[in-house]
Amino acid sequence: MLLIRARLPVRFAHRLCLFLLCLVVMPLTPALSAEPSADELDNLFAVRGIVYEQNDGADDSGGNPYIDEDASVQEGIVLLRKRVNDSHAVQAKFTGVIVTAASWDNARLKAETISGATTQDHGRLGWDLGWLYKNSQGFSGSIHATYGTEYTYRTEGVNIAVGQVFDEGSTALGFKLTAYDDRVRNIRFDGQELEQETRETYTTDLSLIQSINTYSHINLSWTHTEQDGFLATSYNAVQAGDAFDYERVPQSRSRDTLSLRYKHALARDSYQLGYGRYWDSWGIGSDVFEGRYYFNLYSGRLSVQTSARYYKQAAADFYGIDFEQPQLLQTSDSDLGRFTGTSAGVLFAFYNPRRMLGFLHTYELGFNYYQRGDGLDLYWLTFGWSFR
Amino acid sequence: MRYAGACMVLCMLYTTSGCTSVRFNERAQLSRSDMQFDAPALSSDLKNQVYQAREGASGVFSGGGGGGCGCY
Repeated sequence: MLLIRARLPVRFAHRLCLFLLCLVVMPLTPALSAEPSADELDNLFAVRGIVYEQNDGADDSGGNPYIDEDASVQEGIVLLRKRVNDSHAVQAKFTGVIVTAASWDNARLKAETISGATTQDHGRLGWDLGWLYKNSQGFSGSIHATYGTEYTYRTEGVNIAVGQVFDEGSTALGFKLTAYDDRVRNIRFDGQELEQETRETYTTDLSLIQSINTYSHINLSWTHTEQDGFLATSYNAVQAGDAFDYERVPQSRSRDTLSLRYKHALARDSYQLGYGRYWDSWGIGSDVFEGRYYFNLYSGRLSVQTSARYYKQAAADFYGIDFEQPQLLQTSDSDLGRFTGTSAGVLFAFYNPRRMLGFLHTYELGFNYYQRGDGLDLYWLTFGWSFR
Repeated sequence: MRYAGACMVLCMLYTTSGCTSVRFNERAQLSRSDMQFDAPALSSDLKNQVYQAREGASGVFSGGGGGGCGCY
């Protein structure tokens, strides 16, 4: 099977060299001021990229043993924000993705890839247009409209968020409503294309940030989601008896997440601890523990963020590796199975205090590695550049 | 029921955490960029996207709840 490996784009290699050069030169330059705090309405132009590699072992036994889940993804995002006046800003975000999977040859015939990006058209495009508002009384709000398209689906969405700061900033409350209307081409693993399906998703998110004292605060949040419609991954297959069968899952799903994060400022650095609990109506439950430490070096011009994360998930009620006979509900999707995941990452962010072309520049470079207990490993490299 | 219990524990954590008002002019540490819970816009987008694609859960620390993609 042809394995198409990601190749680092030339532009990325140049940017990486520039970033490394900055790291070398920076200590030699006179100390200048740290990065000024940004306002969420400030003008901003940012570019981010991700190179993602997924490996399910030499014999494809990781994750779902019946599917070769090796994959590569390259994604780019461009964000442009323009302040209109003291209280208003507009924003546009564009996303482009290229998916190349090890099972791509197979996918052309069976419509089977990790993201539904199948056949010759294995890209994804999306945009997000937003309006942001903030006033001097601590109220903020935003509205976003989103659109995304891929070979097997199309999505339209809207996101509305409001927030209010109380008590001189000691308490911040936020509420967000997100709705997606998705259209899914029902292409099955055996190549059959059935009628187009729909899927609706409504998510509410309630968040509280509370100062504990002058150097620490907490964030408590609750997210609730209701999904209706076609929730299966159309091209997923299930071993049932001697033959493969379609994946079948409930037509609705209710999902909840509670999370608590604590952040503490040290004299120069800071750290963050977090715990999250997730559960849904399919029987999946999971716990997440996460810790981060932020180093601020060279008068705040270089920050290094290290993170470690542990994830433990219980399988969906109708999950199985193989079934003796076809079931009313059945899935072998490894993402819905029982597994643990351990990940660690590092993110370098370099702030250039000298204005170039009238703008302040920030460069980012990050690396994350994720090892799943079921043998599916992945890593991703991120790089970014922003100026404002 | 156990989730109601979890909610209560979280609420108790909140109410007993000794939260106090921090005046505007005392917020220098809390206002630092590294003290914000959400990373700069696009960085957190990318990371959350990876987690949401490869885990049955969604929305932990990201506010996402699924939908809007071909993954699930």
